[in-house]
Amino acid sequence: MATSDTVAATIRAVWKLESAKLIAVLARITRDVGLAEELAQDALVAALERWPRDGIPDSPIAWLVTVAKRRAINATVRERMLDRKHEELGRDAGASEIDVDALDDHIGDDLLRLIFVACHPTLSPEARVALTLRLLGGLTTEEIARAFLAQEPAIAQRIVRAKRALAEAGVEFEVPRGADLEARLSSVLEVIYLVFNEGYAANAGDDAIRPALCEEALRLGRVLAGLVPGEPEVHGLVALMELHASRTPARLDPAGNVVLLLDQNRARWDQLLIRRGLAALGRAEALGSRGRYVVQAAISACHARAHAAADTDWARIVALYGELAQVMPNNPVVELNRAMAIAMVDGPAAGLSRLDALADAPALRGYHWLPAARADLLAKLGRTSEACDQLERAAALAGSEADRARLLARAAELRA
Amino acid sequence: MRFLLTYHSSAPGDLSPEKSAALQKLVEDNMKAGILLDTGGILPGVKVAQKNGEFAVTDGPFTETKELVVGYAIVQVRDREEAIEHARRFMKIAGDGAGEIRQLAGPLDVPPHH
Repeated sequence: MATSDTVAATIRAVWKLESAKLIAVLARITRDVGLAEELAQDALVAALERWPRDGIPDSPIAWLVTVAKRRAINATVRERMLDRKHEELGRDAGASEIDVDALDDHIGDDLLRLIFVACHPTLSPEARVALTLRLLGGLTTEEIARAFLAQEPAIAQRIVRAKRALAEAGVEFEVPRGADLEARLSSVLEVIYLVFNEGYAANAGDDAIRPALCEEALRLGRVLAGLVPGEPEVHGLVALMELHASRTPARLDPAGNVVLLLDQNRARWDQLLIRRGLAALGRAEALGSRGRYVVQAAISACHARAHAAADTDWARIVALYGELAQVMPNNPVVELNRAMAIAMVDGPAAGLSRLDALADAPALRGYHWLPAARADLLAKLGRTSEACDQLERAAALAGSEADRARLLARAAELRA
Repeated sequence: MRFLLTYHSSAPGDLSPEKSAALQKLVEDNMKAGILLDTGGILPGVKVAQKNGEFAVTDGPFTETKELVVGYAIVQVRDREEAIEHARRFMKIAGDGAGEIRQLAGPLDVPPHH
């Protein structure tokens, strides 16, 4: 017989694994994510009461859904819903025992609907991120606040407002179709990538929940890829995240400073994630059309495939940046990276003339990577004094003390 | 967090078609859930050791071992409790046996303090 500690641990784990599905099923029935969340919590409380006594059910999710649906039809809840919803609720909750296979069949659709609702374009990106992590990631408000270096009341407010905004906008709990799908999907992908990048920006010594955001984004991306397997950009985003995440062990030196891609110890790259990333890219490319995520993943894959920095296929990377510039036109950051790739193929002078053309781009004003990139090419051309000037300019613009120190150290090294 | 789950059984390969189908579904579900990164079977092997600079290979089978490591799974989960829950679900289908759950030094674990 399992001890009560073991059962409590199981319930906590089941909650983390199943809460999104449970909320998704309940949101379809109630058409109200806030109410769905409350009902899901009630079912959790019931599990905490019953499982230690009755044992862990064969299908924890089916048990939770059954209990939550039963509660959904109690009188208090009924009052809060429209008649139309009633009928649906009555029909859905009619069977007291859930058919596990039937549940399996529609749970994916429910989850997909919930993802689209949480990432609805009517919400600001910040609100979408908070709601997604809360409903789909099962993170508490307190955890989201810690992950985003924000105050808990501010996040709680953001989530409450987001739910209200969804209700007020009368957002349909449906998977978008046709032309609508593309725009809605790109809103979802944007949210997942924002979560990933927030985790990727974590520094040494940060709370463990920050780098864990990368794993959460990866998990969400993989789930989405399973739900809409015909969308190349979803596989592209998954590939991009898997490949970027594979490099995290090599990204910081023992002192906690950022190590640039070409200087990283590739033996520390995570081969399992690289393999998964390349496989996801393969799935994306097999589907045909190539958007921003697929092309960025393809660029990332060129680095992943090179066992040493010197083996990098720069000609291919230049071609891919050309393609990326088509799907992300007038993006100065893309152009900057393209110029650096051109420098690797046609020499530093070719890259520098590209960078000079970007000098006045408003989006790059205050972007320290531009003078840093120029410095790199000027140094290669032997124009040391100009390179040092650019490094000092970059240092003045750098956001972190570590970047500033690295740039100034490089200038000192050149001057020596 | 990344964990390595191993499964040790005295009756490897003794799977009914029903068990086998249920395990296949479990693997598919966990792949789709973004949790299962890799999984596979483990066949008997040899033991290697080095003592006083001397490298030695011992052929199997290891008759002293009743239970052989027959399979593994690498999962990405949020904590150890979740990894344990996956082992519970697996064994519920696979049957009696033993296992080990070890955290791997995954790529996204907290950067160490310096």
